[in-house]
Amino acid sequence: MPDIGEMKFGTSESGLNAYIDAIRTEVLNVAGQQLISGLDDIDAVCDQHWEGAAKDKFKQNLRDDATHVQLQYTRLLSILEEEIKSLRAAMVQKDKTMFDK
Amino acid sequence: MAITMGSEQIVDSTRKDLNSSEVDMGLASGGATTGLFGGEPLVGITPAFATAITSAINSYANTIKDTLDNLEAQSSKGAFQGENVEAALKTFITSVKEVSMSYLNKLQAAEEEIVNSVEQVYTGQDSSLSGSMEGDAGTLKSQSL
Repeated sequence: MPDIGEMKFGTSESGLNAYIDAIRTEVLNVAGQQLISGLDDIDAVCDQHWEGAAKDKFKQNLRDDATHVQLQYTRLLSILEEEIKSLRAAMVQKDKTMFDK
Repeated sequence: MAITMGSEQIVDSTRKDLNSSEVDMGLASGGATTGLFGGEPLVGITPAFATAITSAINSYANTIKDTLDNLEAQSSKGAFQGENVEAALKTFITSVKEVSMSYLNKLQAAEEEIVNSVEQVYTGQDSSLSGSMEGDAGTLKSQSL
């Protein structure tokens, strides 16, 4: 049985899962986590250079804004996942129906 | 002989002027700080405020950009084979990256705009409050005796 790497055309379910997993765990989830965890450093700089109620509102608003962007990354991952899965589904469907008349 | 007192009096007209004059407390009404006490014990920004926070925001965004740059580095060859499919997938991934970057850039721009605006508010406040106080100082000074 040939490996997907040896094929000219084709799709692999395990390869697809690994690909999506890599994008999720190595890129978009990491970026999403950094959006939130990185705020601690900005908060510390704010605390060093700014005092007052406005600072606290800025920090909270920044956190809300970053959370909003994080949500968009989650949505982008879902869209990407759906697109890739639909691509594979189309290829698998063609494989199944290639000899149908 | 009876001793009589002369009519000499000390001159204290200045004292009379002094005591007949009172500082107009109306000057305090409507002053900038009336009724505003009870807030934060310390309020303000340092000279490095905007530079330091903008730098922190840039560093934050750059870390995330570095991560997003890895999107295109993920190989799809284990999932799909086919020259055109591979190219289309690459285009799609690039779009995902561009949208991700776009949101990040917008976040970065928004926060930097706010930080600069805060600095401007403090600058404007410094100017307008000082102008108001200088006006009060002039009014107060007009009461000089």
